[in-house]
Amino acid sequence: MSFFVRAPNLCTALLLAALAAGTAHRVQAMPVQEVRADALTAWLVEEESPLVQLEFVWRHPPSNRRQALTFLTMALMEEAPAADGGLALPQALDALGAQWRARTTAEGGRLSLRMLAHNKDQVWALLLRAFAAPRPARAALARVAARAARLREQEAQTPQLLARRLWRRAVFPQHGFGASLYGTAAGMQSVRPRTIAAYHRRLFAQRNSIISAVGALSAAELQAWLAALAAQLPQGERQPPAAPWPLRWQRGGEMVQLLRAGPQTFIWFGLPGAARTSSDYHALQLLNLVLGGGGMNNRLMQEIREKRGLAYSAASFLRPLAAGSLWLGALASDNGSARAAYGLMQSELARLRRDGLTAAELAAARREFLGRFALSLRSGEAVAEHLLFLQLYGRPKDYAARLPDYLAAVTQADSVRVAQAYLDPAQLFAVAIGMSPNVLDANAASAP
Amino acid sequence: MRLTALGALWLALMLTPALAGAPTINPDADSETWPALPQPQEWRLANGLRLFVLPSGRAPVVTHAIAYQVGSKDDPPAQSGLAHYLEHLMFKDTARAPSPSYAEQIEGQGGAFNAFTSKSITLYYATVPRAALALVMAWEADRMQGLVLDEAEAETERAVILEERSGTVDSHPAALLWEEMQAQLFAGTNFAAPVIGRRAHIAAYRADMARRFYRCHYHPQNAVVVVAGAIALAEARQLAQRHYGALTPAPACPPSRQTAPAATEPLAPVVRRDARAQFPLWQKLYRLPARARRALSDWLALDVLAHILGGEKSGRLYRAHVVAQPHFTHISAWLEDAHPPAAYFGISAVPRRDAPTQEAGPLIAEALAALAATAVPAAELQRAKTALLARLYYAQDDTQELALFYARRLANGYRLAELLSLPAQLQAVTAQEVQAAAAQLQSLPALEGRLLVGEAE
Repeated sequence: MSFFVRAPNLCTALLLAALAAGTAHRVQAMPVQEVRADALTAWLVEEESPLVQLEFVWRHPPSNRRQALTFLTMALMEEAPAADGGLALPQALDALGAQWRARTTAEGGRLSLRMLAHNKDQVWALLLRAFAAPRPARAALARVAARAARLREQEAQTPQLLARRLWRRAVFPQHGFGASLYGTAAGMQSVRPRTIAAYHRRLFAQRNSIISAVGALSAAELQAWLAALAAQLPQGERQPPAAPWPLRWQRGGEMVQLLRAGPQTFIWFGLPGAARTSSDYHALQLLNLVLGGGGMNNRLMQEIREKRGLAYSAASFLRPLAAGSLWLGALASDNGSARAAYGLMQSELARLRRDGLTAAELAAARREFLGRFALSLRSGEAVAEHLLFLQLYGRPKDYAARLPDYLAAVTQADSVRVAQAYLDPAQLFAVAIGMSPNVLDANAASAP
Repeated sequence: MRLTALGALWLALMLTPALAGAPTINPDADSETWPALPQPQEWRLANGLRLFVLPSGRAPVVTHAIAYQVGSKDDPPAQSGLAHYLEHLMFKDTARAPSPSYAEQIEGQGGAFNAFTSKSITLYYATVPRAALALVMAWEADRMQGLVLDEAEAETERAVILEERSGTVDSHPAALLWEEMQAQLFAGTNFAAPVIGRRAHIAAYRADMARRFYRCHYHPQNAVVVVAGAIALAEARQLAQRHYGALTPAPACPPSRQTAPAATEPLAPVVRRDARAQFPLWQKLYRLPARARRALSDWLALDVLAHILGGEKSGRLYRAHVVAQPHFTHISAWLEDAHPPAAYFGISAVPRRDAPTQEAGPLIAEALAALAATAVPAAELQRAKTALLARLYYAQDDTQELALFYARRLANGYRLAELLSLPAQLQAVTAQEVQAAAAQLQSLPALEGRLLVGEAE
């Protein structure tokens, strides 16, 4: 049992740059090398290490259909035909001590692969096998579809996951970001082996790949690896990006409640946010840090948990995806106090919107943001993920070195302007799961 | 050792890690030698506090972990969860708390902290910029014996814990099944109650209960400190001496009650129906003989067995009953060895909906019988060992993970020397030992649990 839960993606989504925290040093640029072979590009940070970490994303514009296909395609990589010795891929990876994690996200198919430096070439050879054109048996398709069905059930069984799912579906009824990451039962069943073979070529097209590498790997070694991979994959095309969010926010001031037995009501809430490339992005990040980001010393945790004991966790964060950005938050409180806890969040949001940040608060938030950022990049895995996001979201290689400037450029007036523009309690859309008798009233109270 | 990729600034801030005497291991005779793992250095202060320092890492970052050898096993009767309650209260004011508070100062620099309680230890950790290590130690030293334990704060925190329990246990059908299974598996012992406590017990907590518990268990001779990251051995040692050296050892409290498990005959299965459950779940737990202390090597054959039998996607059960036959969507096995007096071997399975119902019990019994009857082939044994060994290397990637790896095990009674020889001992596990471990499991008291979809009767 932990002292507190951190916001869902603070540790990963804030991966940005590096600064020696506690001082105002300018960061030395990370030595990021760009390595190309044919139409493949990868970003590399080479370092002395016993490990190599690889990260991949293959983009897809999300929809129920495409997410089902991506899920099947990613899962079927592990079903690659056995090589010498007849080992299945997971067994062959074990034999080399390598670790493999494939999954589907809103942005596309994701693969993380970590390996020991001393047998890295053997691991890369295994990876190449996993890109062989799939000829899935029906049994394999059914097996992966059954796994997806279990993930959908897991989502439906877990209030924290179910609320997000319902929130996205309600906010994006016509948009792929409202779709299930695990497809639908009917959609999965309709997929034929030849559909997978065709989708495989599109998803894994060279131009649709984003790759990063960190660790004991030179540019020449990576170049040779990529050349071998490129020989197996069509150049293809980058898949079209998802359509941008609907410009008009249609759910402002609404809350939906799903009754579910249990002592507590879980509430997931959100607003449109600022894109990573927007000039408002860093101001919104700093505002969020003060409101509900970081650890214990933000306003939501202080007001809702520390002063009143109404929740174990109350947090907010930015989720800036390629097609648009969201500002999201979550809290859970006893059925009897959920309304009060949500009301406190609304009040804090309103106060922040009205006042912005003082000069002292702004300076403190800058310092904390930079410090958290430096600490977040302490592992090779985190740096590799950071490089992947920079590419995925079109940020510069020297983002780390520029971050202090980006933050310094945020003025007090910006904090007020950005809070006014984005953090409007009357525009909140929320999903509540639980038996609270009056949580919906809390929302009605502040609706326009 | 890895050096930072993040440029000269970090390099300049880092001190040379001490790697003298690191073990060289050769897990696979035909491949290159695996690199040496870094070794922590150990000291004991005059007041009994044990200190382990491990210079490592890429960034100018340090993780400080302090583990007290106290957990839910020490909760007094009818006060389940008290150790965890105190863990929360440790973040409240001390008599000499600075302003801004330690927590505010640490987070203000970007540092992060947290804590957790288990059955046998309570661990507090912070990952901070190198320069803030002294601040973390000042905080830990202050709150080891200087908590105020104010009544009003104790009341508020009691409510926070009820919310924590609601969100992490009472909203989750599988967590409730798990709690019932632990209660049954360890019935009659001080490992039966949930770490977070039962609702009725939580609701009755008072500040004075926490105060008694605190005075009993929080003192330097009951603490293990691990510092990992960009810090020199000598500097970490000096800082620890300065901050922790003045703390006074406290008289030992009477030992917590410890009773032997009563039931050795077959344990009645736990069946839980929950209308909120969306899919059925099957679990089996084998209770290992209770020991006050164990050598780490006692567990290794069971660790290897768990991987061979139930490795995620690579184990025999997965290959046979998820891939070859469509019985389950998921099946895995693991060894829980953190608490030597309450260790168990677990297997969990989720049945496929689109296949005929197949009882997991007989399939697992069959796989276990095969492992007990015939020695594992050499290649399969080596695969499992390599996969387990590799995890030790991946733990080196993050100073926080590394510090917690050592702090948990050291506080649970394992010795530094045995942790350092872990790779060699793992390599020494034989097929006969794995076979014997499988045979041993067959004879242990075991408990089945099922989560069923539907209204409770």
